[in-house]
Amino acid sequence: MSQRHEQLQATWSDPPGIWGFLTTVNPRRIAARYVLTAIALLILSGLLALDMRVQLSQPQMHRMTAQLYNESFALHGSTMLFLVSVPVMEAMAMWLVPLMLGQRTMAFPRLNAFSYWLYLGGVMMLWVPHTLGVTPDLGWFEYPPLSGPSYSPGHRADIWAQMITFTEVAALAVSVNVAVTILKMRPPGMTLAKMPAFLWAMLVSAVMTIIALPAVMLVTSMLIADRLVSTHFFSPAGGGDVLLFQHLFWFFGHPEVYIIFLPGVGFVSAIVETFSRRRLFGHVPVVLSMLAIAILAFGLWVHHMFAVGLPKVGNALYTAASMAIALPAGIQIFCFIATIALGKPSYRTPLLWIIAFILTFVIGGLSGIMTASAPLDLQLTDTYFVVAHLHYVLIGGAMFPLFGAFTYWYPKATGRLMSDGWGIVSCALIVGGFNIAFFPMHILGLMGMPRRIYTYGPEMGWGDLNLVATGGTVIASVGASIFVANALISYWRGKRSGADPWSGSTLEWATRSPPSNYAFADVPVVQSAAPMWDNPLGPFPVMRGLSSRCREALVTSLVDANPQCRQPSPGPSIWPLVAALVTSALFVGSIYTPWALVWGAVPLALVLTAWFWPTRPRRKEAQA
Amino acid sequence: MSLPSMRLGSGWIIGMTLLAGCSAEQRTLVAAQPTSPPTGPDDPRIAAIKGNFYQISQGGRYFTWYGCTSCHGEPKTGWPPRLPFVTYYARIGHKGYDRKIAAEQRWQISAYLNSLTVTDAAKRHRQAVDQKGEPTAGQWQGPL
Repeated sequence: MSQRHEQLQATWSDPPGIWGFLTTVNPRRIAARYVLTAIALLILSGLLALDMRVQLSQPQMHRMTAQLYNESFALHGSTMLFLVSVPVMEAMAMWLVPLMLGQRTMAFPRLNAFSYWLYLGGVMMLWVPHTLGVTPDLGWFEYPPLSGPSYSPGHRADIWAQMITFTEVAALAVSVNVAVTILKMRPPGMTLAKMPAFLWAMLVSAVMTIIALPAVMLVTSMLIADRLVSTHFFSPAGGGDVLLFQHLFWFFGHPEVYIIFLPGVGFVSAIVETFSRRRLFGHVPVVLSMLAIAILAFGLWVHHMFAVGLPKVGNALYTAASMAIALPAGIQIFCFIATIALGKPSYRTPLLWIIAFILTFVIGGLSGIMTASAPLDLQLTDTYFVVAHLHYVLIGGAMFPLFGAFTYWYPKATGRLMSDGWGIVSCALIVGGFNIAFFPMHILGLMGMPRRIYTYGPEMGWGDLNLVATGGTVIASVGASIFVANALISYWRGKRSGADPWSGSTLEWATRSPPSNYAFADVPVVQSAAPMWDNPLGPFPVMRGLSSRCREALVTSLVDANPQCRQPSPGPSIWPLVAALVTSALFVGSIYTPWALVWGAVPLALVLTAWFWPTRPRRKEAQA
Repeated sequence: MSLPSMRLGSGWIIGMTLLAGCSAEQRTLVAAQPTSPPTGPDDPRIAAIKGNFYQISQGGRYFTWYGCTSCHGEPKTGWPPRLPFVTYYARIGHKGYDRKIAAEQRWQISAYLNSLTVTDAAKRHRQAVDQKGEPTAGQWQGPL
């Protein structure tokens, strides 16, 4: 056994030192980088938010200029939506999906590496120019004609548009990987019907990503074309249409909200099940709700555009669709509440985050029903009501589950537990501070305070509520600092957790903490969606037969997860990094000249050829 | 961990190349703008204004608003001719416009005219088309 462990460890290890760092294809190592980069950006965006809240705390503050304020909220929004929320959810999928499938790796390990390097390129695309004073300043959706060649001279809008291309290519790479891994690499016995809700959430959100993201890459590329080679996509007087931008942007933008939210639902399903000591109530309705959300999410993007003057039938249809999506979301919430109510809940920190999610997300959902109604939306659009709503659904619906997930899987990743006491303190401060900060914004919005203003006059009467909101932000920031300190200190001083500190229900708890390079010596055989609870006493049934001398993964059938073949899995390689660097050069160059697309394609083709150069002999040669 | 330092290094290289173009991106919304005509071809304000994208685009909007297009038409190849900055500034004052257009705006229009001589025809047309909805002197129907 121990000899086999050492052989497997050697087969799946990275080269030592810097070379291993650059060439690794270990999904956990890459996902950890993704998560840490996203958390660093989350902290930077939080500081920007704090800065803006201080600016708005009193009327007629002039510590920020209008231009600096514009840059701050544009940077905050773009970073949070494109560089934090979506990537961090994909990183969690990259870390957890292979473990939950009892697999040693993912379907396309090198694609993960390529994805991270390209994501890092996108981060630098936005933040390196920012340190030089060239920051996009038009918000997180940059509508033309404001972002067109006449009204946004210079390269600020180009930087924003090309940052999106970077991150969306990276996101597509991970999503394809997650979808194929879940569909073709499930352990024997894990049929689609017996797949844990977490994996369903990740699968549905990966498929949604694959459908939604090309729209935004297309539209930002059209914007760059308008700006760089003077096409007329978005110039009405030249035969174009500015609303085309909004339609294409929100065809991506609305599903994106659910691409962020559904992984949150996945975290909630896993945490609720484990801490209620009961199998998820209504597994089938929860999964069907995810599918219903995925379908409806592509049919309601127009509710972001009620104020632009579309035909009334269209507005009515999209109002109905927007309200309909509350039904599947509601079914999920009721199933989670029922699981807690019917189980024997132990209120540890992860479950507290989930309760915070339920309370906060329900408030956000209710304000969503209000903004979904076209007549009311005309009044509320571009006010602080919308700011309150979007933060309630994104922070309440995705970030709170993420913090819960971070606490829940922290021992799996590090081998140590985070402090429960400090966890409760930070959870209370963040959730309390968040509600103090954002609830008054509903009232401010109803009073008419528009979003994206850098200051306001004392005669408006908005000062007191804004001061309360800023106070809430400060409280939440203190809580966030405690959360980060807790995570850092626990990394060295935390209580050792062992393989399964929470008696979890899914397969990741079957392997050691932190997982070894190969994670699983043999693929487990499962009988239900909570495999760890099926046979609590006896040894886990496993399927033998995978080599320990070379990298191999098990491929199973799509629906029934019957073993089909042993798939060779690629080892460490420098080519994903080189390919990402060459792609980055192409993207950055295409801001300045259209010829970058032509000349940049040549080195890219060479690098991809090198990447895909066959390393195994052809079948005939092998037989000879 | 020498990778972060490598990234930092490449960041510096990108940074230094961008640094040259960075004052071009600056947006002056509240800072002091020129209130007097250029003192001569060596006036240091000329280089600063004609190299700044924001000042150039503001000049383009004033070009439309003051109705320059009603006599000169949409800027075409060969118009305006390539002239020194001070000459643009002086000629904008023709026909009594020196009393109608503030100095700051004459600076910006001069910078715009200067930029047109190096802008290709397609881009000039694209910019003009983008501004079709802007109010134009002489055709303005709204309140005054």
